[in-house]
Amino acid sequence: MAIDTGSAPTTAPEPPSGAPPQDLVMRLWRGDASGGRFQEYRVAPQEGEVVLDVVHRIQATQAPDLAVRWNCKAGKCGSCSAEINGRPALMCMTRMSTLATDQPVTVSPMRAFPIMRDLVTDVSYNFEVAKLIPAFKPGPRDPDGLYRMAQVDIDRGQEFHKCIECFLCQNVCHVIRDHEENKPRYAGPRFFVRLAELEMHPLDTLDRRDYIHQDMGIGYCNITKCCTEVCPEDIHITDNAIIPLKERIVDSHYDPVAWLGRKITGRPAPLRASEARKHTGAAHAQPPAAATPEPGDGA
Amino acid sequence: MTRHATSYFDNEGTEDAYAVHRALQETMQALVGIIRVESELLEAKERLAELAERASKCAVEGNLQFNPGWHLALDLESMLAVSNCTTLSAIERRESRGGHTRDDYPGFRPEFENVNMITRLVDGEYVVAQEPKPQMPDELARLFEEGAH
Ligand code: SF4
Ligand code: SF4
Ligand code: FES
Repeated sequence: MAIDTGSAPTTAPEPPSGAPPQDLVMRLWRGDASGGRFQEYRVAPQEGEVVLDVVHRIQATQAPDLAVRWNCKAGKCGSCSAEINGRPALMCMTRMSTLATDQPVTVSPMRAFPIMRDLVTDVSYNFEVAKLIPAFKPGPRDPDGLYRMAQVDIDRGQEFHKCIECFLCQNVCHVIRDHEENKPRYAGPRFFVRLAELEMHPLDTLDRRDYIHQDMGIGYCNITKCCTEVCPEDIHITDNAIIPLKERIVDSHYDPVAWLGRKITGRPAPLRASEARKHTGAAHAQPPAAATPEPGDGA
Repeated sequence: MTRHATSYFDNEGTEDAYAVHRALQETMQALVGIIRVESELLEAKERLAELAERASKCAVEGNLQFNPGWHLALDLESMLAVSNCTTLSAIERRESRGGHTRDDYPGFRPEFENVNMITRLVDGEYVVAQEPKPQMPDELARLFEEGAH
């Protein structure tokens, strides 16, 4: 206290130096597919820890069979997703210092996926959706054997490449969170990101819009932005992936000439053109036919 | 030495895999670290034998499904194998070369230039032997010659 004289008086009295800091109370969900419950563990806090460190310490000292999935401890593998005090987050990127540790801290598995054990869920639904997505299909190379892309087209997809497949966005999306029955007809935010990445790729020639509309269920999304809020990679899922996809689908439904032109030519160029118009707002200033000078139109 | 993976569940053992793991890390860090010396390496060799004994007595709780305590008990076998290879090779290589620094043998020694240290499990014992380095394939050797100018 003696060295504190120059600073403003603190309201809370400091604990006497040397006194051990108060134990953390961690409530971890333990159980399996047949059910389970929260179990309380007390551990001494350590400087600079994240939730995963504390969970590992409980595992090493009190609960050797506590199941928790992790790999990188650096927020890049997407393995350690859980719900911390009810909020979906990566355990390795959630600092204990950001949580109110005067109360118990709860850690539970992601709710949208079936429990395997303790904090580990079976996320295979996501991999099943991934298999359904029509793959990247580039057109022919330029005569010199190269592909060429405009920098602006490359930049647009960069954000989507950051996805680490933590599936926190899938976990939080209300369309499937408590509605198992919606899973077969809904791709979910992570895969709208993937689809947007493919649809906006300057070299891709497939048109997935009908598919996204009818089979991937984008209409169920009512742009609540919960997915964006929990994304550890700060991908603007709703604004930059879902809404542009929805706009493209609306365009294809209300712009039959453009749709037909793209069907016939199978060329990505018109997609880029309509994208550019959308951004300048010029689409509304011109009649659809004139606004889509398709290479195949004259044929 | 090798045993059926699920035998850990029937173990009457008293050892905790996490504690053995920690002891192994501390041993290797302290005795087979960056700067090495024979007395410490020999001590590490003895400690590794004790740790192998402890590891074989790990008791495992819970069931077969996603059980990190059990997985660690299994992993310890491999970690001990790697630790033994590292330690025995370090004892045998009485020189300093690359990432291997011997306080008691500073500098390169020509007799170690063309040998590798190979550790084998012989009747349950780790045995290290010097073996000639494999001949460099021609195409690689050519690259070195080109680079020499
Ligand atoms: S914005 Fe759409 S995808 Fe994202 S959480 Fe809301 S409903 Fe789900
Ligand atoms: S989009 Fe974000 S929240 Fe969703 S899986 Fe990828 S990184 Fe995770
Ligand atoms: S452990 Fe890889 S993201 Fe948390």
